[in-house]
Amino acid sequence: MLRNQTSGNGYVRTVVSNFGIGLVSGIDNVIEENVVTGNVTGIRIQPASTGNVLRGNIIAGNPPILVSNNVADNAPSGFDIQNLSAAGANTFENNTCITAMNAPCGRLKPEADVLPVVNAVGFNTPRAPRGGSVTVTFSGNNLTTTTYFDVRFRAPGASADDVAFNWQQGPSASHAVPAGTAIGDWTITGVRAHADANDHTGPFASVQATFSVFVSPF
Amino acid sequence: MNSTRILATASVVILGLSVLTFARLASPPQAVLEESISGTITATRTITQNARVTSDVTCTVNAAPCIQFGAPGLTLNLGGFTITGQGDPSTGCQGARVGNATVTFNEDGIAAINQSDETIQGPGLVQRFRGDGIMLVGSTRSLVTHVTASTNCQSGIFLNGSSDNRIEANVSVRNGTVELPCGGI
Repeated sequence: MLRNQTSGNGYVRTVVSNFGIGLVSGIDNVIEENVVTGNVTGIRIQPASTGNVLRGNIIAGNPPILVSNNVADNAPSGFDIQNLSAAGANTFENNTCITAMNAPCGRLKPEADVLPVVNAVGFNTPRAPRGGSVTVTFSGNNLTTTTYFDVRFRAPGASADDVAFNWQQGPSASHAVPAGTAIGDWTITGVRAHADANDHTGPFASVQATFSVFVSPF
Repeated sequence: MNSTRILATASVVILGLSVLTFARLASPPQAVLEESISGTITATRTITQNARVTSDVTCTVNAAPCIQFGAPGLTLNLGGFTITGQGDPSTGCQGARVGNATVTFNEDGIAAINQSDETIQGPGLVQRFRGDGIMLVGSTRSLVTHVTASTNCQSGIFLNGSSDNRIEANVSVRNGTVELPCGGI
């Protein structure tokens, strides 16, 4: 069973609850690289199941929060992996999950350790002439050289903010100030860091910094 | 040296002509037999040759599979279409179990029973059956791939007494019933 997705399956039952993937009496199966989320029980392995290998699956959010909060009798089966077989009867390798009974669970990192977030922005110089350049540095958490930055900004004399998608990749980069750039103060009012170049759905972090463009007499 | 090269060239030409002659004498390739499935199915459709779904299918079969393999080694291609049973649109079931007055067993979407080497090829959606979406019983070496099974009253994909099957790259969502231990796969 390879690279399947099972989600939102099942009802709570007092004897054997429903599941995303179930091995009721399965023998010598390979359950690999599946994604199992939001089911009453994620993967359920009944006592008669032996010789199965469960490897590299992502099993999380089983049961969904509404079930776990509202249905008290789901407690006996509300696991990402519920292994009711004898110890050693089945093999578990590199599965990522949060809750498990009688099965090892790889640790999922908390959101704060994964999502890129900007909490400050700086310029290498507060002002630069048309035709010059400025280096912009974003700092925060989980920012890497592949992180994209959407920038919300206010142009000189403008009454509303504008947004530039993927204005920068990587925490620090140099930007040219073209000859036609409006002179005056350019203010960054928010930054959205994201890993996917096409994902512009997250909120902007409220950071602010101003950079001035002027005309050089030289 | 020159004579060797001439001989080699002649050999290649003769070999090529022989292949061309053989090709002309051989039988023309036969079209692969494939039946088409579409419209409304009111009694179990048993396939005995490769089959392809050519439009959305509605099944009104009661207490039996909608489509069933009748010979080994066949491919059922869902063609990107939807096969829909009689289950409730939101739960798959109707009541507890399950809109079947006799409460014996319920209709499945696609069944392979005591067969081997079958392929159920998606993309395609199998939904709202009051039994399982896809059921392999006593079957070996079969492949179910790229199928979406949704809102079936029992399991989206169910295997029982089967071995050496590949269930690959399918999506199984919102299946299950309070009456049985079942679910996605």
